[in-house]
Amino acid sequence: MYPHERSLVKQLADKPFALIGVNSDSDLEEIRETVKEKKLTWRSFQNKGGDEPISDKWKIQGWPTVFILDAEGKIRFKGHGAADKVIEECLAELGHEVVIQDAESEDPPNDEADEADSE
Amino acid sequence: MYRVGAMLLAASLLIGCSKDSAEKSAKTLPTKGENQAVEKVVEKKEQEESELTSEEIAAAASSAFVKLQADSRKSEAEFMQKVQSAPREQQMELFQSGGERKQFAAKFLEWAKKYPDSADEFTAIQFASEKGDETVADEAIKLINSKFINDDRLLGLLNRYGMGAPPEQKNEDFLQNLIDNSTNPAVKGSAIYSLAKMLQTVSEAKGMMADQPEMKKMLPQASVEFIGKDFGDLNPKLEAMFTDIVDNFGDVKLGNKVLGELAGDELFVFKYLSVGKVAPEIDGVDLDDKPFKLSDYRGKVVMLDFWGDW
Repeated sequence: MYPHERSLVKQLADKPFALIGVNSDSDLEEIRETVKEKKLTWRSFQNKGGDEPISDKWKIQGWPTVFILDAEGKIRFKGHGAADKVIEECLAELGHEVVIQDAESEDPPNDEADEADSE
Repeated sequence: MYRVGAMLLAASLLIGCSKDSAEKSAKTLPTKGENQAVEKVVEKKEQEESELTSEEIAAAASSAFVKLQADSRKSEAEFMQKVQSAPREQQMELFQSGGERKQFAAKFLEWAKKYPDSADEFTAIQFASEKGDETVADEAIKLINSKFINDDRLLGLLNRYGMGAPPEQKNEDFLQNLIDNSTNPAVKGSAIYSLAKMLQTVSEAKGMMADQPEMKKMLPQASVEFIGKDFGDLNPKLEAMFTDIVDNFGDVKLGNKVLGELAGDELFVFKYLSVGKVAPEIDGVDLDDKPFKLSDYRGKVVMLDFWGDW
């Protein structure tokens, strides 16, 4: 999971694209460690907050669940599978032609943290 | 990630068949009195069956049922033990083989036909309908359709379909018959909810199957065929079904919730969280407790990822 996300963020660094997480872990300290260790550069909401968890309001039934929102905030994809094609489509509408490469075909970025994820 | 999704779906499809309702309604062992009644029955049988009093027949029926149930439970426990001790990669296949459930289903049906209108008739028929081979299950469903479509005990079966019945033609037919013909609002509402959840599974499974043809091997053939059918655009149908539930069957219980709440959640998803709708705002804090909003990213393509590091 992380290699794919990291690779997306890297490939789309100069495009109008943002990966935003909603993190459901209960131990905040632990997840801060993970973020540091695994070099997860994107921002995440804490799921618990306000009057109800975000995942309850969004009726999330399984993890991970991914939504792709276009530039107008419209939901373009919702599911558990790969959404790369939809991301490409949304970027194309903004005039950015991109072909997203699979994470697997990318060289893993440098350290042992990655080997830990691929298990 | 795909594989996980497929496994989850396959697992959810199996839920319908993995819990033994007949075994849940545990009965005590036959009492001495019942045993004596059986002996008496056996003795009398050699003379003439018509001489049995209705009490004696009831006692014989009950005692035969208790024995059948105990045998079935024992066999199931041994089977599950075998599944659990099998190598991980064989567990799924072994589990799907179902042990001796089919044989017991046939016995339960036979019992139900031999002692019609007994106290445990419904339980036996239900077991046969869920665990039997095609012939047994079909016959059991016919019995339910002819005798029990208004019976509150159907709710137990429908409750277990809370995640949606396994998507198969015969399950759709069964639920549709209850929707069309049951006069019990609890049964009717639960059947609509169950059918809607089943069609939702179909809708999701269609997409997954297109992405991962190997998923077909994990599902029963009847499900593969059913999911492959042309249902047209399912979303308006589903929205209408959930609206019907909220409007007319809101108070019906399912587990510790009511159908109105469950169907209301589904409608919320249709209105605000489906493809094509503008996503709701998220106003929260990041992992360093700094506030930010989803709408801060308007103008960009956003991948919103509900994740956890488990």
